[in-house]
Amino acid sequence: MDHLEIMRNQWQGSGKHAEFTPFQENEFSTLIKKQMKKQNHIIGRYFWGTFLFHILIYALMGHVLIKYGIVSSDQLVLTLSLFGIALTFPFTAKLMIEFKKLAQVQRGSIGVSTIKSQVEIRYGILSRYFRFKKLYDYFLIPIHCAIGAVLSFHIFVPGSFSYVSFPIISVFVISLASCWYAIRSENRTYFKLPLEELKGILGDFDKK
Amino acid sequence: MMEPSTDKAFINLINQNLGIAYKVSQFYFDDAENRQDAIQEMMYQLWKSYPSFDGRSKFSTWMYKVCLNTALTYLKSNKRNKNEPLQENHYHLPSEPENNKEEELRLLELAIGQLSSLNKAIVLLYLDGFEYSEISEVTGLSKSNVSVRLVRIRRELELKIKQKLNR
Repeated sequence: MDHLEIMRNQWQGSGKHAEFTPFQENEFSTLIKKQMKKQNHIIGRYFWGTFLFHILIYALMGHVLIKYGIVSSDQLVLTLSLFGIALTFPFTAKLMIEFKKLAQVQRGSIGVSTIKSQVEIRYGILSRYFRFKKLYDYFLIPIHCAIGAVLSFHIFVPGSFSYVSFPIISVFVISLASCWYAIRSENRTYFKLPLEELKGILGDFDKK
Repeated sequence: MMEPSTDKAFINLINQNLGIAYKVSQFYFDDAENRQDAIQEMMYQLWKSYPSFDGRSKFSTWMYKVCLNTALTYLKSNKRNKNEPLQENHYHLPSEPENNKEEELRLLELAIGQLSSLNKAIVLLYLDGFEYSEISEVTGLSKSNVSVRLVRIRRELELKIKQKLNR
C-alpha cells in the first residue's frame, strides 16, 4: 500500500474536518452582501479609472472645440477635436457594453458543468475583453496623443508646423511612452497574468 | 444594496457539506487569513451558481466543482503574491515526528502541496473517496486520463518522499 492510499484511509476515517460552525441564515446573508460589495469594489475601481479617462478626453476636446474651434473659427482645431470626440465615442459605448458583460454575470446564469469548462468560460470572457482593450490601446491612444500634441502647439505656441515639428514629435513620443507605461502595468495586472494563469491551468488539462 | 435572497434549503445543504469548502481551502491556501477569504469567496460563488444546480449530480459533487473552480481561478489571481507553494513551516508540525510513518505522511502532505493546481484537485477528490468516474465528472478530464494521472501523481509523490527521506 503506497502513502497516498494510507492517507486516503486516514482521511476518510479520521473525520478531522468535521468541526465547523454551521451558517445561520442572517450570517450567510451578511457574508453574501460583503462579497458582493467586495466584487463591486474590484470591478468599480477598474471601470471608473477607465471611464474617468474617457470623460477627461471628452472634457478637454469639448473645451478646445468650443473655445478655440467654434469661437475662434479655427478649422484645424475644429476638425481635430471633432475627430477626436467622434473616434472616442464608439470606444466608450463598446467599453460600457463589454464591461457590463464582464461584470454583471447574473445569479444562476452560468451553469457549472466541469472545472475545465468553467476555466474555459472565464478564459474566454477575459480574453475577449482584453482583445477589445488592446484594439483600444494600440489604435486610439496614439491618436489621442497625436491630437493632444498637435493641438497644444497649434493653440499655445504660435509659428508654423515646420518650425515646431520636432517639439510636437517629442511631446507626442513622451505622452505615448507615459501612456504605454501605464497601460502596460494595467494590462499585466488585470489581464496578462490572470490569462497566463488560466492558460496554464487549461494547458495542464490538455496534458495526456 | 439589495438584500440577497438566501433560502433555508440552500443554507442547510451548504451546512451539511461545509467540510468540502474547508478541505479545498486547506489544500490550496497556506495561511488562516487566505483560507478564510477563500471560504467566503466559495460561499459567494456557490450562492451565485445555485439557481443553475439542476440536481442531476449530487449536491456534494456540484459543491466540489464550484469550490475547486473558485480555488483554481478567482482566488489564485487575487492572491498571486501570497500564494507560494506550501513549505514545511506552514504545517506547524513538530520538528521531531513520533515515528517513521508520521514523518512519511508529513512529507506526503508537503509533496502534495507542490503539485499543480489540477493534480492537487485530483488528489483531493481521490482522498475524499471519489471514484475515477466521479473525478472525471468534476474535473472534465476523461476517466482514462484521471487514471493515468493518478498513477503518475503516486509515482511523483513516492519519489519526492524517498528523496526527502534520503537527505
